[in-house]
Amino acid sequence: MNYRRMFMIGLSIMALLSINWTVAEAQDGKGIFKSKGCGDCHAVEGPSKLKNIEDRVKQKGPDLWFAGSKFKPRYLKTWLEKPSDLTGVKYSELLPVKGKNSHPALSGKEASDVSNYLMTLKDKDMATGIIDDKKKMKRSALFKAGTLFQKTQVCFGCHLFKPKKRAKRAIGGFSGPSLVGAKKRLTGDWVYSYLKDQKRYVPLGRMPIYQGPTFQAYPDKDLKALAQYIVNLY
Amino acid sequence: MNKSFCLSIMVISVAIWSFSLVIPERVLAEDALTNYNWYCAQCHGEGGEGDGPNAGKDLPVAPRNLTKKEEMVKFSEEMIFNTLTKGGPANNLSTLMPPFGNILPPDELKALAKLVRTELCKC
Ligand code: HEC
Ligand code: HEC
Ligand code: HEC
Repeated sequence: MNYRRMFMIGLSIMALLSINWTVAEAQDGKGIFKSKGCGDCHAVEGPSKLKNIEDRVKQKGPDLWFAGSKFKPRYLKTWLEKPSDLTGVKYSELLPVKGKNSHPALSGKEASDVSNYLMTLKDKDMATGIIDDKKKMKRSALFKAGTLFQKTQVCFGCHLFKPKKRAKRAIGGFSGPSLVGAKKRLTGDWVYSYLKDQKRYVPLGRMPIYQGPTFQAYPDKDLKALAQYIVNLY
Repeated sequence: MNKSFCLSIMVISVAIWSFSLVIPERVLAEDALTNYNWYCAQCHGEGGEGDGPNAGKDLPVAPRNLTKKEEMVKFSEEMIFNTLTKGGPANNLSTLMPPFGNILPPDELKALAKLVRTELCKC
């Protein structure tokens, strides 16, 4: 074999490798998100500028531009591998969900790449370090915060939750996302930030706005306790 | 083409252009039925019979059947407006009936209170 030929073969192998390389690069989380059409239903830039209910009803999935602030680091990979229903109604509708969950699922490596990508999407203006997710609530504090969730306002009217760790089943309405297992899913800082300013994250949401000029359901201290309670739910 | 014609075209286009700058984007007030279906039907049901998806035995009180005339005559439009603004406790009712005053402006809440009385309970 002459050297020229070997050189040409070497060159084409290198060219092939580099193509492979760019493909691999495009397959990172952001690339997968794009190529799988996730962006058709989820906005990764925000805050959203939705103006009215008519436009809101056309929205096909929740905004993810603050995913990195909202979710616990290890949660998304697990959910993306095996998506489960968050509410009991079809998104943007009131029809009950039936049958198997139909959200697109990702395989292990893809799920972890996309999860890593989504976790880079932070709300840069959100205050952090306010709620300590790891703090175990004392029994008395837990009871008091439970009252804020169950009586002061009946939050479980639209959110499934387990009143106790070992409760046999979750109770509540389900037009809102289930808060069963919120401990593994949501960060306390985001929940607090969301409850303070719901419109920033979900303009034209179905959830009543509890903190505002016309009506304020909770003083700030209680709001913090409520956020802490929610991220302690099993 | 004559000069004045060109000039008037220019004036008109400048006028249209500046008009589009001055007029703010129109934000429509939502119509009462749209509001009802989006916010209220999740508990009270699309027909108002208290059978929305959230209504179930787990709840401490049932979302009221808004079509039941005998019960609903007790609540005047004004009372309903207060409930809608500040939630159930404004009329000594459960906090399961949430406040909407932070979401909807007073005129839209009034329109909703009217909708309840004229379309749902017809009382
Ligand atoms: C046809 C629209 C659609 C497509 C395509 C879609 N999603 Fe979703 N996604 C939804 C809806 C609707 C929900 C909310 C589900 C619910 O309320 O039960 C959701 C929820 C989510 C959540 C939130 C999970 C949580 O616990 O809050 C994540 C993360 C997500 N999708 C990621 C993705 C990724 C990644 C892709 C691409 C592989 C994707 N979605 C494709 C509609 C879509
Ligand atoms: C009338 C039904 C309803 C009631 C009552 C309600 N919520 Fe919600 N909640 C929702 C819906 C629907 C969403 C999803 C966002 C939206 O559409 O507003 C939501 C979202 C949330 C979220 C974010 C969860 C996520 O996965 O995105 C939290 C946290 C929350 N609610 C807490 C509360 C608390 C605390 C209360 C009581 C003070 C409450 N909710 C009362 C309907 C309700
Ligand atoms: C979380 C579920 C829930 C949602 C959402 C909700 N309601 Fe209610 N509503 C209730 C419950 C429960 C009662 C009964 C309270 C009681 O009897 O103590 C009630 C009572 C009422 C009453 C009768 C009491 C009165 O003072 O007038 C009216 C009218 C009413 N709701 C209208 C509405 C309207 C309009 C909306 C939407 C803007 C709405 N509700 C949203 C749960 C809900």
